[in-house]
Order: sequence, then C-alpha cells, then structure tokens
Amino acid sequence: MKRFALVLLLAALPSTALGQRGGPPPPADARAGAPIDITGQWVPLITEDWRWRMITPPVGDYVSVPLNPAGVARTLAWDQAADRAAGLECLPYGPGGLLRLPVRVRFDWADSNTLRLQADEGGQVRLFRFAAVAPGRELPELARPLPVNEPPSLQGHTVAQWHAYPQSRGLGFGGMGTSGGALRAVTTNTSGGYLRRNGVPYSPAAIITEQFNIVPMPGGGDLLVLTTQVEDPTYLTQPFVVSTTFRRETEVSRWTPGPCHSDDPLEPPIPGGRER
Amino acid sequence: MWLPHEERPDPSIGEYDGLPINDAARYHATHWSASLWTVPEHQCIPHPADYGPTFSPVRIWRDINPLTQQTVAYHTLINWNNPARTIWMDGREHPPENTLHTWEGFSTGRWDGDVLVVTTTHLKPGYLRRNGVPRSDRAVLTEYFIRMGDVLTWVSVTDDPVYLTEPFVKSRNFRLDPGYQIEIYPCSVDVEVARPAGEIPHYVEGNPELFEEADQHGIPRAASMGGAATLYPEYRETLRRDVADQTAEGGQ
Repeated sequence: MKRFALVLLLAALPSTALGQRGGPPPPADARAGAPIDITGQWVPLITEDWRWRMITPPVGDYVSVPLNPAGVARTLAWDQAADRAAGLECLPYGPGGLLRLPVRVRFDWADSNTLRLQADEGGQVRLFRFAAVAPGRELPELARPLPVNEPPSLQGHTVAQWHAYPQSRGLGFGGMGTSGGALRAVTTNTSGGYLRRNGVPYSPAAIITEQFNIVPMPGGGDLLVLTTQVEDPTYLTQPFVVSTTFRRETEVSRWTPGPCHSDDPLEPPIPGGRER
Repeated sequence: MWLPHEERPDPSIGEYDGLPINDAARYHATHWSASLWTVPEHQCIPHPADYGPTFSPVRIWRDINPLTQQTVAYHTLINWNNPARTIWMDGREHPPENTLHTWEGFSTGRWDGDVLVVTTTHLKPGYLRRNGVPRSDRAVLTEYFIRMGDVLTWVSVTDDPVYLTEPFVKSRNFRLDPGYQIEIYPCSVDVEVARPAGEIPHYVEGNPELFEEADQHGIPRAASMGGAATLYPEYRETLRRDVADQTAEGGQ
C-alpha cells in the first residue's frame, strides 16, 4: 500500500521536479542565459511628467518626490550656476535620474557577463555585472547588496541578474521552473546625484533597484518598461518609484552624442520661478 | 490592495504636451470646459478603464474555478467611484463590434511569462487626460501588469485611430498594501450649477485660459498643444528655436 501511495505521489509531482537531473544544461554565461534581448538602441517616450523631464523644472519643484526635510532643504538650495562652476553638470546623469531624461540609450555586451548601458547626451556608461547566468528568483547579492571595495562614482556599482518568478503546478514539491524574465539590477556606491534636473537629490547612501521588461508594442515593435526604485535614508521618507518607457529603434541615425548639457537655451529665458 | 506611488497634480487646462494627438483631438480639447463635470448626467461617470488607475488605489482579485483550479477572471476595483472591471482569462473571444460599449469595456487577459497582458475593447468614449483630451470608442487598450517585488507597474497602451497619430503609452506604479480597505464611494447627482435644460458647457471660441499655464512657465504654446513630435528627445531642438523666437519677440 505504501509503495502504491509513493507511485501516486511521484505521479503528482511537477515534471520539472523529476526532470531536473536530465534537464538542459545551465547557460555558459549571462549572455547565453538571457531570456530577453535588451541590446540595441532605445528612445524614451516622454508622454508623462513632460514638464519635469523635457525641460528643467523650476527651483524647488519636487512634486511627487517623497523628500524629507533634509531633501527639501537641499532641493531649495540648488544653484545651477554653482554646479556649472564646480563642473557638476553631470549630476542629473547618474543612475537615479539619467533614464528619466530625454536621452537615447544603447545596451550592448561589454563581455559575456557584463551588459553596458550608454546614453547619447551626457556620454555616460554604466556596467551591469551579472551575479548569475540563468534566470531565477531574486539573488541575495541584489536583495542585500554588499559594500563595494572601490571609490564611489557617479554611475556607482551595478549588480544584475535575469529575474524570473517561479511558476509551479501540482503539489508544490521539488524545484520550480520559471517563465519569462526581466533584467533586474541594483546599484550602490554612487557619489550621489539628482533625481530631476533641478537639483532634487539622492545621496551616496542610495540603493537604486531597476527592472527592465520588454513587451510587444501593439502594431509591432518592442517596448522597454523600466521600473526604478530609489531608497535613500538621507533624503527620502519612503522609496521613490517611477516607471519609464522606451521604444526600440532600428534606425539608429538619431543617436546624438554630446556632453552633459549645461547651456540649455531653454533655461535662462523661461520665467516663472527658474530664478532662485 | 495596491496604493499608487505617485501623487501627480491634475493636468492643467491646455496641457497636452507629450500626447500624440491629432488636430481633431486638439480641437475637442481646446473647446472643452471643466464645468462639464457639474452637469448631472456627468457627475457620477466613473473613470474609464484606461484612466482609472491614474491616481487611485486599486484592489485586484481573481476568480478560480474550484473544480479545475484554473483562473477564470481577474477583477479590479478602483477606489474613486468604485468602477469594477472583469478581465476574462478563460480564452473567450471579444464580442462583435456593435455590442454594448461600457465605461470599463470588455477585457481579456493572458500571461506572457510573468507579465499579465490585457486587451480591452468596447469602451465608451472617454479621455486621455482629464482636461478634455478625448479618447474614442474605437480605441483598443493594451495593458501590461508587471511586478518588481512589492511594486506593481501598470503599463497602458492606447491605440485610437480617431484621435491619436501613434499609440499613447503611459505607466503607473503601485505598492502592495494588504491592510488597505477600499471605501464605498456612493455618488449622488445634484444640481451643482443651475442652467437651462440641455445646455452643455463648452467654449465656442476656445478656452480663454488655454495658454495660461504654458505662458506662466515660459513653455512655447506650440509645445503645450502636444502632438507626437513632442514625445521625443529631438523635440528639444524645436523648443530651443521656439524659445529663441519668443525671446526675440519679447525683446522687440
């Protein structure tokens, strides 16, 4: 009777649990294990928050950013001229703010386990170093990022994985397969930067979590959906979460390399609070 | 239960920047009056499926067939005005084109990996922004529900052959809050503004406050009127030219 029950139990187990030993070998590297192809050129669709993204908002405009008193004080004290004089024009181009700006981005593989993100305006480069090669649930390296033994920088240190939620059926014993997947990344060790071009800050203590999903655009093409969460005990009262969408560009001629912009003719002539 | 992460201000009159609208939509929007909401027939209209998740908490739950354990449908309930949606997951077809159109439309869903993809048709005419920018009853709404831990990103793509020149993409973010309780939202109709029967508020010559917000912020009026070009980074060159022209005119 016990043997019969065991047979019944095995029959009820998910096939993934039984077939793991005979399953496909793990991918050789993160590039081979990619569940999505994020490489290529992407253009942002600035359909929302236009007045915070396409132009520099007025000083002190931090609508929807959960700043604490220190963050508010820092925001109100923003001085664009001082930033320029100090050579700090690139502060909005760090991982907390860059992908909200009207810039095109490109992904390519720096090596088989490192994705490279480049932006045309600002010329910034960020490396996504993979902590695992196959898609799976959130890794400890991303859930609890460890201190990094390198000097802080504007782009910081990014650890990445292919994230996929477990999908299981049956009685729930044994291993669980995954379906789909996204690029998940956690960035620490930045030197701080701006969430918005008008000096809304994040500090070097910030932990920036990102997830990149690719979904099909109705009518054709790819849509890249980026969810960004910034946790910053120095300037925020709660996580600041935004999502940003990009369309894949097969025509790459509109890639316009340039420096972090500091002489936007939009800024000086626009009245209504730009001056402090 | 999911609570919105962002607290955005309501759109201003004449704030169409970033919307891929055509001239017909622009005409509709510039002649629209916010007093329309005071008309009794309009007071209790719930936000349509494509606008509901813009700012309000939402409950999402599912129906499971107890015999097969298959998901039959998901439902959403928005806090504001309590509009409920059903997203059929059982593979049924959308009804014929001339079937009743409703505020929430007819939705079907499917899982693509770990992303829930929802297609909605049969929507009543609605709005892309609550400042008069219209959306027609021929629009098709495609939504993607994406989780990042306890964050839900809700992406909406509206394809409207009547008022848009390309699909309108927007996204909202919510945080999981199991303890939140949605309130009932009773809505009663009242005479808020006395007016002759049949009078519908609108501006024949266009809203006189149309450019107030743009002028206050020095945003070129053409940019505030939207259009697909305003979505893309290269529009900053147009902005530069328009601002330079404005400055030159101001100097003269």
